[in-house]
Amino acid sequence: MTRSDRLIRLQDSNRIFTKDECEAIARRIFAIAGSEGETRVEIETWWQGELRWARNRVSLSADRRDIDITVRRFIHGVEGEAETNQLDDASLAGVVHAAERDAVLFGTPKRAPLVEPPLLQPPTPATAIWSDATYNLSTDTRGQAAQGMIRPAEQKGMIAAGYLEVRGACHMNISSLRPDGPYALWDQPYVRWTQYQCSNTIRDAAGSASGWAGLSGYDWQQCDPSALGARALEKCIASQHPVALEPGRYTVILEPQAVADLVDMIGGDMWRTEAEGGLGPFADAPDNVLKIYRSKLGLKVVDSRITISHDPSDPLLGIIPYPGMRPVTWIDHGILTSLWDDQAYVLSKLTREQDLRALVGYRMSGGTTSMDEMIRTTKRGLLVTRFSNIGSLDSTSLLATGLTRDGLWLIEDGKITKAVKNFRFTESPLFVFNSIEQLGPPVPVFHPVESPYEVRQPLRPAIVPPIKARDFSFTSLIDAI
Amino acid sequence: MINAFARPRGWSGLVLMVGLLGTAQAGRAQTTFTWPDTAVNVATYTDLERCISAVQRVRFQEESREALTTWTDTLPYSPLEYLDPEPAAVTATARRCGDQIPESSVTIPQYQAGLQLFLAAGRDSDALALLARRLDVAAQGDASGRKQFLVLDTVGTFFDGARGARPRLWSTVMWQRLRRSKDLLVRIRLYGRLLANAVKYQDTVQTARLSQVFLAAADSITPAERKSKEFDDFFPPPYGLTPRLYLAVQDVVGERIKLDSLRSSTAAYVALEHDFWHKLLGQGALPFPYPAVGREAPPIVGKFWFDGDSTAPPPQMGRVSLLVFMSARACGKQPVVDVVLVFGRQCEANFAVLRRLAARFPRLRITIVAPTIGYFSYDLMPAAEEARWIDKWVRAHAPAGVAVVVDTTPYFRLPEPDGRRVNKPTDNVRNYTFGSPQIATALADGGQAYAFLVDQGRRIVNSDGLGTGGEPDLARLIEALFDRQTRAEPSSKP
Repeated sequence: MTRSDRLIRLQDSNRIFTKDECEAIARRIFAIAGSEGETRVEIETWWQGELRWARNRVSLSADRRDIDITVRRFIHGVEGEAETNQLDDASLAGVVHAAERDAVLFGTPKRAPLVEPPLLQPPTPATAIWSDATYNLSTDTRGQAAQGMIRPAEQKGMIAAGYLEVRGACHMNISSLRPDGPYALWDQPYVRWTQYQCSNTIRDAAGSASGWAGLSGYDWQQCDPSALGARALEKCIASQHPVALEPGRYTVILEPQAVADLVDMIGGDMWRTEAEGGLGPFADAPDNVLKIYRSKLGLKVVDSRITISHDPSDPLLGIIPYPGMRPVTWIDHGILTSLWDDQAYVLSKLTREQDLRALVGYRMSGGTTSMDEMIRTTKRGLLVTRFSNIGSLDSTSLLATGLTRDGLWLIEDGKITKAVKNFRFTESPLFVFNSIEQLGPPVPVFHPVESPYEVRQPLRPAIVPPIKARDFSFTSLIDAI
Repeated sequence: MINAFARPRGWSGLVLMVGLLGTAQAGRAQTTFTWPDTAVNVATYTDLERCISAVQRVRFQEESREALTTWTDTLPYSPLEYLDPEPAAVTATARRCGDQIPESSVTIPQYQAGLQLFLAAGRDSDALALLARRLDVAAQGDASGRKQFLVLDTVGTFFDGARGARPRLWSTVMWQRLRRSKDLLVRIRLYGRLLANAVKYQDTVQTARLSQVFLAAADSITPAERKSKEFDDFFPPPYGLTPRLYLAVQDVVGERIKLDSLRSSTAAYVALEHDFWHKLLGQGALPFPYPAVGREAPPIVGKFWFDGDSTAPPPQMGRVSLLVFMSARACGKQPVVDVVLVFGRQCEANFAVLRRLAARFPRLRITIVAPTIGYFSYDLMPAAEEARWIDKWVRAHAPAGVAVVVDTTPYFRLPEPDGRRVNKPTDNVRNYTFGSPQIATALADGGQAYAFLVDQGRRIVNSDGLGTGGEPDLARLIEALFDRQTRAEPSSKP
């Protein structure tokens, strides 16, 4: 049998393995490795279907799928690791022995403790993050969705570009020492999920106007690609012939996408160990009596109308769960109530059982003011679609700089009067969220990971409201649209 | 991490392919684990740099293989292991590769690589010839010998690494080149370096000789020289010459005198140590660095006692005691962010020391003093349960007959939502700190094992971290105390 004969390809009907299939593979590997030492098997099967279009034509249609099997061998105090994506006996034997060779060549001897209480894992919450609609979205259907966004733009003489992706994966991590019993902390029970993302950018032929709309989530049924296309087209038409405006401080109406861009900056710094080391925006003054640093836990950090939380059972949010995940309120009516930390910290500093991991998705509270109402009540301000190229300038204040893009409009006396050239801003999300005038109802936004090709990093869903804030600082004009 | 389907290269790929084809059958029948063969063919390594790479690679493989099968961290300290020859595979690789590189072809910029290769291949005469060439270049315009000292200081690690008798070879070259240097600081530095080497390899003849020479030279430094920049460069503050001087003084005076005084009484021993520090070293302004030595050892207190008697707590009058402060957290029972050493081997070496001491001195009363911290490994638990797990963990490693005393760590919590637990020192830690920040740090929550040796009169004789490096000295002190006991001398008087 040649190597190409042995290659196993995931069939359309079996792109994502079931729990039983994963466990069967793990048992085959345990049998090969034998009873000496410990073997840990991590199994992941993933599938990604994508469609890319530019200049009103589909430029890429791809369907990728693979199996990732990582075998870790712990033998006599050393650890080795190797991967394969094949399932035949010879390949599984090869990966086990490759892991053992890795242990010999690179393993640093560790001593397994002789005495240890049994390690049990907290339960993983049940979540609704699988959608058959997403999983079954065929190539043809994806193409039709793209055409639904391209054709209207083409008819108006505009140029459309965009990206549509559906993906699914399963993941499981299991140890030979506990194949049937409760999992240890580092074992991951079986979980499967689907996600999608769809975004569309439309520009005019002169290259002076741009409109964008996008959405991501786990259930394709929540997405209306035609509506996204229509919205992007509307924005593009409305942003033609922009005028230059003087940089300065303006009242801004930030669409939900722009708000999410700012919240992302806060979420990345909500690390307790850092804050209690005197670093970052959530570090408070040192306590010279106890000789420790305080954090801003319990202090008001943003407007009292803002609450940021996540709940793994939230059906609209669709967070991929981990063991022990529980509902968390990070900011409660403006007060910082939680910072994430790891197992070591939790045990040593808090003597608490479950660690609190970094934001993997969030819901931000809002209000009832509609966008139209916000515009109507604005004497002079700017309507911002979204930001891009955000870079941090100061980690303590979260001062950052970035650009507006894909539509910026001037509001005068309660009406949108003209399209405006894009600005560079220099602002801190903490300042913005302390200068809020109005909030709208929260909605899901487009929230991909930085690299959409990194299939092991699921999307982090976000539900955020539009907001109106005062004194937002724009520091210079830019030519980009 | 190795991809099982990396494209095979050369014969190592053939080994992999044969291995893969073979193991399909072997996997089903395999019942006993055997280490896979990881030998590498270095026949294609031809020039000097590649030869060094080949030697390093084989040396690393041999060391890894040894580390996987022999856990040296629990073996007693053996300074003479440096004198063992290199593994045969390393020497063979160096010879096979280096045979095509004559000594005369190695340029001065390549001298370090050449030196390593010749030493690994056993070509000592070529190594010395190459070193002589380099030193001749450094000697030009170097009347004081400083440049030559720096060259020799640099290559000292190569001779150490080459093992066998090479460290002595290096010492000989250093002595021959620099003993007549007219620069006093260079000579002092030379004597200090050679003295440290002689102590390391337990060359008592050289140690005695060099100590005398070193002290005489150090005594002749003028105040102006002591304040000079060159002095600070050679002997950086704040400790300067003190560590080397202490070593030399100890050797000149002789350890026998210290142990004899300890056999007589702890008070005499403590007085001698203070004399060393204050009078001989001239460190009148600095406090004696071992504040616990000579103090009365407070009774150990604790809530949970295992194989011990809370009504007659250690250290007991009439018994030689070793009180070992340990914490499960410091031994890597769980990853924590505020402990420096979290490697399991650290405490396994500590326990190995205790086992050897217990075997040698059956009447030594060893007590492990451990605090509760609210959890054990990854599990939160109440103090009583944690104490039981600590005892279980100690018993799995420690010699039979040790007592375990667990005291509950007092703490308070910061108000919510902070909620951090702030530990306070236990009674035992407070009692045994003796005002020393260094001891307080060592005994702090999560510190490494720290031992107090207490004599029959409940006076502290020694306090230091417990490790294989200090084990010979600790054993000699314990032996002196038992000698005292055997002679039925009266217990030490304040």
